[in-house]
Amino acid sequence: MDFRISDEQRMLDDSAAKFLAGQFTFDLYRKQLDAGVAFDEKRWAAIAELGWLALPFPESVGGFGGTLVDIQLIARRLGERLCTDPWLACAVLPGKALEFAGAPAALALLEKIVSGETRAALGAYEAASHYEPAVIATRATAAAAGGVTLNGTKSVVFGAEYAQVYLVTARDEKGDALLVAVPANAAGVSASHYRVLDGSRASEIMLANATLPADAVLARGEAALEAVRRALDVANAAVCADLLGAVGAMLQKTQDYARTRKQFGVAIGTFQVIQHYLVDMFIEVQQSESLVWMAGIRGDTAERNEREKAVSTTKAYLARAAVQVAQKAVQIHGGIGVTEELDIGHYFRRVTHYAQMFGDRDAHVQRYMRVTQ
Amino acid sequence: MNLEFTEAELAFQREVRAWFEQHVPAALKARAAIGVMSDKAGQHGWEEILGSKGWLAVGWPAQHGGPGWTATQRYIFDLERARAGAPPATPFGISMVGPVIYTFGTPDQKAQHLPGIVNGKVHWCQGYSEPNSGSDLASLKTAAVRDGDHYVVNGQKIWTTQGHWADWCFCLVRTDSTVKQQLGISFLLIDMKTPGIEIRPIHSIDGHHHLNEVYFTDVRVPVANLVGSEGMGWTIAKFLLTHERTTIAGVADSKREIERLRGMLQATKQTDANGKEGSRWDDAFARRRVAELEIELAALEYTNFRTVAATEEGKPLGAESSGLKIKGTELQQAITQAMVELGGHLSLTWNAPQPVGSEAFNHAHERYNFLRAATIYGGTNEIQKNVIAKMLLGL
Repeated sequence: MDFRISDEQRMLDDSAAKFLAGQFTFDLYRKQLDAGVAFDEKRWAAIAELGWLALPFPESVGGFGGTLVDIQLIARRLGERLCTDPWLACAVLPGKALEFAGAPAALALLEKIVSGETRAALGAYEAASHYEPAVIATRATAAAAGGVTLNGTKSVVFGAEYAQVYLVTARDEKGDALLVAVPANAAGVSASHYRVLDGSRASEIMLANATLPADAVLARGEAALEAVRRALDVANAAVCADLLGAVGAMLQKTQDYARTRKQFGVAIGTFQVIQHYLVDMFIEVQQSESLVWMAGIRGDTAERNEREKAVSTTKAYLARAAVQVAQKAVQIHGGIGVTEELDIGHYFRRVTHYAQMFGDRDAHVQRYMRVTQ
Repeated sequence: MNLEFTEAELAFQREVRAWFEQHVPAALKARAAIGVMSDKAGQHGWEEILGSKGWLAVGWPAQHGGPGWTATQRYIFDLERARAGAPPATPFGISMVGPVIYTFGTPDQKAQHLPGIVNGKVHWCQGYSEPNSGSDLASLKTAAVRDGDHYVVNGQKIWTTQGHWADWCFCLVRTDSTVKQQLGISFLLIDMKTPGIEIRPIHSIDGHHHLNEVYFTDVRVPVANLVGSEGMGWTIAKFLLTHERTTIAGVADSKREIERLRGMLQATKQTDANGKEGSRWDDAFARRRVAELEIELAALEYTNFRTVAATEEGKPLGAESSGLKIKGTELQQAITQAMVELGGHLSLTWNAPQPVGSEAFNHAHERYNFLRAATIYGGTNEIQKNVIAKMLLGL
């Protein structure tokens, strides 16, 4: 049993930390937030240069064949730096759905994501589906020459504003699930974009008689659902790593604050209640880290039960623990903890967002129960 | 990064599992199945069985009689021990005074005391706390005054677990009242048969007698029983705190107890409001509670693995493993609380003449009431947090 990362992973991690420290400051984050923007073309090119678009995917599509832990190492640094660039939303999540769908059309599109030519976004949810990808109201009816006509709305699609292609789920007249590639500029396709809690962007994708050719259907039936489920599990493992990075940063900042902020003539870190809060936070971060790596190793599998158990254990735990750490961090900062001006409140919103994106504690406890009971 | 046991470790696990299957006495297994603690004969008999196999002093270096296992092997052994329904070994000899003696003791002290600890035939208790010196242990007052070849000990210890079962006591005593408190404390080994020692039982809310007051009135202790030099007691006590952290989280027993809770729920009949006969396991709220305990256990288990792995790489974690005592004891309490609560009225019976619905639920309050002490003994969790805070903040 060995929890050490390899030298290669250490280099990946160090370079991610360095890149983000230089390229994604809190100042830049605030400017983007105020401008209603969560993407920068030059920085996306830099991310591609770093190899982050290739890392998660197999060599057969031009990727580097990286592991789930590799993905988590990058995700942790993103959380640590409050980075809203849509690497997870526009590369990792849709890319994994394509990889696991596996059909030639899917892999051809994945190659374009890996090369940086295309960004995609996965529309797997609707307003009434509450985390369950199998709940699909969007309808696919047969069109000419094996094509499909789509009607429905995919909801809270993260990163869609910056994507050229949407991967959407629909059900056909037989009730089979379909995974369909929909170009953002196709006829019958419109989107409304908005900010989400962590400062990034999401969209409603409206499909009104949007007709797509046969080769836009990337997967059908159980294979389509499993590709989406497995991609979401990868995303959740990354989300947990992002949460770890964020609460790690919040803990560090709160320790620093407790050491330097003085009241009653002494550092507030000398007050026992504050000390015990910090210790509680520290312990939760340590335990969270243990499960993040467990999910990275045990969740990196096609075997559904093992994967879901590992990912749900971790997400259920982090969803509680990270939120508690974030809440205490704000509390210890006092008044400034709830201002826009300080970064702590922004980390707080990110933690809330990530703790329930792709499944909250309740959803994952219940999935854990389904798998283990 | 790799989370699997090696082939050698798996083989070791099979070997240990098979041995436990053969050697754990049925009476012990029966008590473990319903959550009742061992009695003196059961506990000591079991420790002698382990001792004769050379598997009692599992953390000791080979030169002092230990089996020379890695931290991972010790973890596996503990896992299998709990799985087999055997209790953990009493810590006072094996985990406390034994390592003290082989680290700080004279050759005579080692020769006199180590074999009896290793073979499980000599039993120890810990004379630390006093009525006015619990968390503030350094303020202890039990005095040892030099008189020729002896120390004359006067004072009182309290919370002395198994003092009434012990042959020997390792005691922190005050040999100097003129210096800073910590510097005036010495570590003395006291034969419990020495005249002047009186043991009074303290009855615990779990219905059993574990704890004692121990009164020392002019107890004459040979100077040869001083470990280290006068004034070294506090240093030795601190050494004990950092020693042997692989089982402090109690992962093995908590894992076993959650599995036992599952079994209890599945085996206990419940008829629902519609008259359908089933078990407590049909209750989704009960199942959710079990799921949440398992998720907490996983976090503790993998943090424990990281500690074990780091120990093996020669790097014991610092504040990280202190968190294990805090989280481990909180989980023990959460599990035992769930056991009491999920049994309903069946958990409220106290030594009823016949089992009522589920003998295991009938006994659930014993472990629950006993383990309220888990967050108090071994350094209260609040004190543990003070210690970790100091490490984190340096204030």
